[in-house]
Amino acid sequence: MKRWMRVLHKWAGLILALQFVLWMASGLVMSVLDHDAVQGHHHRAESSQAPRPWPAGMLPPAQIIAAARRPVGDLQATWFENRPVYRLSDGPNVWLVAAQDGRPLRVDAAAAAAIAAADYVGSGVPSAPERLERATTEVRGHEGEIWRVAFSDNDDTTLYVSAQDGRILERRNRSWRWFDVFWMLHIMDYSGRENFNNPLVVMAAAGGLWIALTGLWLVVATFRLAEFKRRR
Amino acid sequence: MKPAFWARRTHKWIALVIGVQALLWMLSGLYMTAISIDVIHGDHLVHGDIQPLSGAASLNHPDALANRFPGITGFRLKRFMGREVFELQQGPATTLVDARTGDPIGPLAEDAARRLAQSYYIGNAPIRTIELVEKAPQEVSTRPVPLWRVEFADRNETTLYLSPSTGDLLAKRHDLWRWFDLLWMLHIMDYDERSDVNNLLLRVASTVGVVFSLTGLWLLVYSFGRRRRA
Repeated sequence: MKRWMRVLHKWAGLILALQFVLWMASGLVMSVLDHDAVQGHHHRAESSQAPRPWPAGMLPPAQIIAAARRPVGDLQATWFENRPVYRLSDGPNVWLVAAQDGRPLRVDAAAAAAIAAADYVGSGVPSAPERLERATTEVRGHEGEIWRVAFSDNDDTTLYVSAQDGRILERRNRSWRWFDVFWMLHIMDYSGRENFNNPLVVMAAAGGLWIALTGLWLVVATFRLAEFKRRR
Repeated sequence: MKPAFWARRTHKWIALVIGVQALLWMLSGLYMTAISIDVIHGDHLVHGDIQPLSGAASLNHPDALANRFPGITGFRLKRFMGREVFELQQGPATTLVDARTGDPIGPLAEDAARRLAQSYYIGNAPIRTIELVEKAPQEVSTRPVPLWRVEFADRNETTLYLSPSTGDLLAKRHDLWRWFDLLWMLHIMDYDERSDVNNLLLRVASTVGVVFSLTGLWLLVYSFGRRRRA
């Protein structure tokens, strides 16, 4: 029994040894990297927008929806660049119209630069906004066009602004990029870096559990107190 | 003493310290990877599709609402139990009003919360308990209170949390989620908040884990091929 357990333990170990080291090492790195830094909180400005009264004389929502010429699932009255706007959405599609005259609003480079600058604290200087046609790895999971604004600080902060409604989509930096690489190694999704339900990691985890069980069994079965005593 | 001897001995020594946690890491890791995160999120438990807004001319004009509800700072128009409603923001306060009549709805009373929960819920189990909680249970600790907590009498103990002021479905919980949460706690070793991945215990344990896995790697070198006495 002991011999078989040892055989099973070491052969499974041979196959999974490297992944074991990677799991432990990446787990260590992720626990050491400051989560607030990873989330980009250190360069995030406090939102100073006090709620403002919604002005009278704006177009009513009924008129805005009727003019949208496509389904509207949700309508929200909010502010964009000091203007009252309606934020409309239909599933993942989001767009803004001016509340005053119902005209569609575009988030242009100047607006994106202003939004990014207002969200940022730190010594970095922002780059000119760069327009991405679709999401890159750093902004995966987001739809539509995106503005990328890079700051010249020590953390390589990069803000991503939605070209649809001007929201800050992601706050990335060097800590996040390191975290993301180790996250990829941890969950073994080498292409998307987000699917931790992939078959490879499930199989590896099953093997890992097997190693842990046989290993623990071996520790108990082969335990001799004398082994842990200092020899004279 | 040969290196093979020391490799086996250190691996075994460290296993005494970290073995149980290593088992917990593997067990929790397997659970979290094997069950789809969409299932854990409970997307299959509630109706997802919403009907588009009508844009009917009979919807109230915000200027008319402003007379009845002074100090409006923003609003939302949305579907709520088959009708269209405005969710009015007056500073920090939120009021739900019927978009056609302008009459305030809520905060949701128990029978309305009951009907709302049933309209979200996909299964056919009856409601087991419904209560207005003033202190958020740990499984929804980040959600604002008060909350309607509606538990259904299904095998998975599905529980929906609804906002009394907006009618929004704030959280879906069920036993698979609760197991995930418990195992996540064991995985990151934060037994209080279940969210701090930077805690010292985890850092120390994963450092030991790195050394442990390296000694395992080292031991592999001597474990194959010609049998030697260790």
